[in-house]
Amino acid sequence: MLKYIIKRILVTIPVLIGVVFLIFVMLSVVPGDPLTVMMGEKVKVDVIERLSQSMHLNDPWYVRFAWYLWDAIHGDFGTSYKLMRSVSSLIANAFPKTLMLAVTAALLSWAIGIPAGIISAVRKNSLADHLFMGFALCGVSIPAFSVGMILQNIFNGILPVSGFSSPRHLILPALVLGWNAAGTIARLTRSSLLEVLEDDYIRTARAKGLAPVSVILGHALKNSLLPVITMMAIQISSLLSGAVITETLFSIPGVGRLAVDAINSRDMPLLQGTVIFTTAVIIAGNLAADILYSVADPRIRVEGGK
Amino acid sequence: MKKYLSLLLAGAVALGALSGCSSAFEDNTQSGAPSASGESTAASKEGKGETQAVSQTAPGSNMLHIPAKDEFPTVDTQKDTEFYVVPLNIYDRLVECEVVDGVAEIVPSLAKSWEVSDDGLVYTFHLRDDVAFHNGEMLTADDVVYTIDRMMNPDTAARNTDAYSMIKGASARLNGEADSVEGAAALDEHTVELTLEVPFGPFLANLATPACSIYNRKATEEAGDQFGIDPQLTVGTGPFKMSDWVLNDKLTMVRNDDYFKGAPKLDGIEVIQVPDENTQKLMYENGELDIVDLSGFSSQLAYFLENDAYKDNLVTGPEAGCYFYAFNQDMKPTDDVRVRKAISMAIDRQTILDQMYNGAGHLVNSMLPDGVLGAYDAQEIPYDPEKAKELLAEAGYGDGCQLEIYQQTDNPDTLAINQVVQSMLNEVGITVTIKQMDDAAYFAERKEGRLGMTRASWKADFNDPDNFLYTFFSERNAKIRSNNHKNTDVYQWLEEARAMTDEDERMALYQKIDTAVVQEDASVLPLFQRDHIVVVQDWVKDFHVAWNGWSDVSYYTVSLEK
Amino acid sequence: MASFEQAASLAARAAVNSVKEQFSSQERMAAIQRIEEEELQFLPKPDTIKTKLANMCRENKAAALSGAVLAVMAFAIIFADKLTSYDPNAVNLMERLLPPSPAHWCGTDDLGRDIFTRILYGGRVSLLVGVIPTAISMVIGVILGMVSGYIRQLEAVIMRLADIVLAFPSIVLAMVVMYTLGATTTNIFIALSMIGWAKTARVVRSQTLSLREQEFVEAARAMGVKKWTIMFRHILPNCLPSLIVLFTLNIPDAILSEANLSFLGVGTQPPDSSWGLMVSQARSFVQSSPWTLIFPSLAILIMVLALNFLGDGLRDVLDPHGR
Repeated sequence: MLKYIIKRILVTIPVLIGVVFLIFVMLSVVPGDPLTVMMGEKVKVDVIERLSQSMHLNDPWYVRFAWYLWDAIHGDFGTSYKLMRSVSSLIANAFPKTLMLAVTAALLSWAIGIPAGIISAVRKNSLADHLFMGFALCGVSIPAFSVGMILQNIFNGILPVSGFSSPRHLILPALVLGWNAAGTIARLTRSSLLEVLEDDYIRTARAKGLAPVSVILGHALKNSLLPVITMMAIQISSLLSGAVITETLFSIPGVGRLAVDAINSRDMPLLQGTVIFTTAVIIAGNLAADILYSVADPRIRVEGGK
Repeated sequence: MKKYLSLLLAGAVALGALSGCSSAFEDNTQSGAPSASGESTAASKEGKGETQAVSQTAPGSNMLHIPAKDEFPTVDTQKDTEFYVVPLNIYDRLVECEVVDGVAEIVPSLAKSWEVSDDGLVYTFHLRDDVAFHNGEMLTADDVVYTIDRMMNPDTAARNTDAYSMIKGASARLNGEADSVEGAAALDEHTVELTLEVPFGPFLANLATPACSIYNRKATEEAGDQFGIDPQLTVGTGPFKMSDWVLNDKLTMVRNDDYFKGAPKLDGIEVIQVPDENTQKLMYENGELDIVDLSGFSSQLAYFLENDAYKDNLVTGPEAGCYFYAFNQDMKPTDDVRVRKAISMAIDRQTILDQMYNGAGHLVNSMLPDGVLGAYDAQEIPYDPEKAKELLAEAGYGDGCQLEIYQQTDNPDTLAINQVVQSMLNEVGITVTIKQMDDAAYFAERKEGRLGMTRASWKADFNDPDNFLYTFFSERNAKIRSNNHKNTDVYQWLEEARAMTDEDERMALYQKIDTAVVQEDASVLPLFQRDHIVVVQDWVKDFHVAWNGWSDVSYYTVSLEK
Repeated sequence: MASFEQAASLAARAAVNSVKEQFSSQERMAAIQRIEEEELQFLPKPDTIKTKLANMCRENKAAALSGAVLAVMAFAIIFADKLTSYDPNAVNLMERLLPPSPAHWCGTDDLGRDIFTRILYGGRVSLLVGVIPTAISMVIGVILGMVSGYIRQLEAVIMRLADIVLAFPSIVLAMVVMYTLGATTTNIFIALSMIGWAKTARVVRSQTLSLREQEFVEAARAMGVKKWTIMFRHILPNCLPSLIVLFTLNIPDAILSEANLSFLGVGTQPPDSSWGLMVSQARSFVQSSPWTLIFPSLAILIMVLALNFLGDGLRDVLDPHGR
């Protein structure tokens, strides 16, 4: 197992380099340069030329790519062109906010998704099944910004609609994200619970005359939650990679907003930094999910682990 | 067994994430520094902060809360050309531009008086001797010389170098050929002499722009590259001091009790980042924001203007600027002056103003809008679709033609107008494609002179026609503004006008230039000058719209009565 | 996202089981013969699919209803010009932001355009954006997934590529692609296809990995059947049920991604509209004219919800495990 983990971590290194490479190539063909967009209406050609020179913006992309890798290996992720601060410090300040939001949203999605999934599975194809799954799936079926705008207008004056200065500010954005994630959880809970309910030992338990509720909660649920738990690990990591739109709508100074700002201002160091960071988080989340799954269910062969 | 193990593991992961989180949140509140954020968190944790508006539960209710749509990189005005709300409140300039009896005038500030030599080359400024920087240092002539030298020092990597480029020796300093700016000298402790390369009519007006904010030598040198970024190290003379800055969240300024014009009435200002405009409106409604500027925000105009509840909350003022369409003379079909004139006649400007902006403003027919020096009564550009069709036929486009309008994405205002124009031009046989580009691509293409027709607006930086006409139609700027204006007479006149010392002659020349550009060449179609409308809460007193209609203003005079 | 993977891996396990049942080692020789005789036998037979669908319609009312709703929506979208007399792009400044009325069923927007009409026409873009990139990405994903599962030399390269795409925050990747290529509807297809293939590739690869160890595949290999023939004749048909499910469930993803791109200004370009663009343009008028937001949101909600229910229903019946 340890060998497997080490191998998986080693494999992420080429993936990260690939990500960096991809961004360099793509941003070098995208029209626009950071200085021109930052000066905007006040554009002055001579200023842009002079500063491009000193910021090495005129070097070909592969030269900048090499320098970037070199610095990154030495732990220096550069200085944001737009925000003029070190990329590491920008991410360090933004990440706790994204983390806080992601965890709250995840908890909320479990609170909605798991009960909905259980009820749907137990009452398969009943009205309750459709109603609960319908509610959970609505969250996945409508764009986050649409839900966000509606909630903002309903709760304006009752809950804060913008910013991130108190726990109450978390409620609406977490609701938007949590509802969205709940659909996936509910669906998975339902299907894996259904599968377990078909298994022999549950049938035996039923035949022995155990009451359905205790059957479900005592035996089936415990087993059926395994895939759900691994799903949760994956989900947290995808929430952590930045809920770009929710962060914009609710003015949350998180990682997602940094990334979008960075693309819009062609801020290569900042974009690299945020993408490398979130990529690493996603990879870690997937790894955790795989390990959990293989620990939980030995029947599932860990990929490449043989 | 293994299943239990995995459950345990999962639980551990979840717990770990949670504890990581709660500590993250504490970190957040701690770094959220003094007043509002930390306190309101504590309050709601204790279950007290149940009332709605955070601003009202926070201590220091004498704080002004204003929104910002985009985060500023730095408040060092030498390095930033876009965001001036903080600089206008924490720094001062040698002179300021203020509205006196309805006319924008240059008034003394750090300089109590000044003389200009007859040839217009030498400016002598006498500084006040009672001005203290936020760090306690007193203002001296050396600080002014230092400020100018810092801007032109190549190591500073300044972006606003145009502000001083007319001073003698400035370019040499910028190119690394000199160690100091020759034309900037301290005659004694409180006298500064600035010598220009050639006369520059708008020089004083230019010194009143935020770019020319005066810094303290000691504080600025000590701060190094943290000047403008670290709130504690950023020092000016202004009515407010920077105290805290949580990036992408909010920036806090507090009152400077020792301000040389007298302490401001506010305890401070919080600039809150709210990228979404509709969210700004919601926050205004629940009292979290005190002032919301509607100028970039026309979709909400109707909501506020037509709602009687807000009648007394609207502060309006003129805007020394105008909206216009610019044509690219290097692209078909707008390379033909007849097509440009036809387009101008096919657009019903009054309807756009009435329907999209609730009629709040008036049409303009020149690039010198009211409120700007040299504004005059220009000949009206008529709305005449029939004549437009004739002109198009004359130009060989009787069967219609294709036209591209370029704009930035995420700009609903411009998009709405462009779509209206699209349908208006369709009436005369011009098929319009609207091309949206993100900011970076848009500005990059514009710099290369490759944007087609664009809707733009310009508000005066300093009160001079030069700021409008030179910016767009000079040889140096025609390409990077993507109009590719070809009139060489205009190029020459623009340079001549800069060096003229007789104000009346200078203004007459600018009017001649404007007529040539707008009426004869139809290089742009001026649309209208909008009223500047700001919505303020009942308790905000003495708020005035800036002379030029900027959204970034000084809040020195404002007070709150809650 | 990953739920599909999970679901598909469940389906894969089930597929393996059912294949095992059919091919116990005693029957190996008979199996080889059957392969020779009837290579496509692993394709679910048309009549069984029909029966299964009929079962689904009977048992899972929600899925059946969803199918009907989707059919009606598709009909309305395709025959939009017959159903409304308004021009979707005709600006009428005198009729800005009118509330719903008999003349304008869903009201008008900020430029006086009829929202009902725009929903019908915008549905074309949304539907295309749902179907085309999903189809393209699935074709790419199936090929790369099978190749990487079957030809071990290429596995590392393809799977690392998939890892990069999957680990990359997808909205950021889509934005960069849109900026690189320019914002047009065709480029939305490209951007979404570039993101979508990796998920399919993973699922197909894991199915291929287990299928290639099966006796019938080994037998075919032993008989000298070519690699590509094995892949497309023997392996692909066995992946089909999960691919159908994946397809139904990926469409809503694509529709929502387009909406998100439009919200960030790099999606569908005006005056064309998609539902996502309509919702995002409504954001300035939510409070004063809520209908500008509500109706396009409802259109997205109904279509995506219906697709999700249908996809779940299909999974229930097509999953060989036979729940």
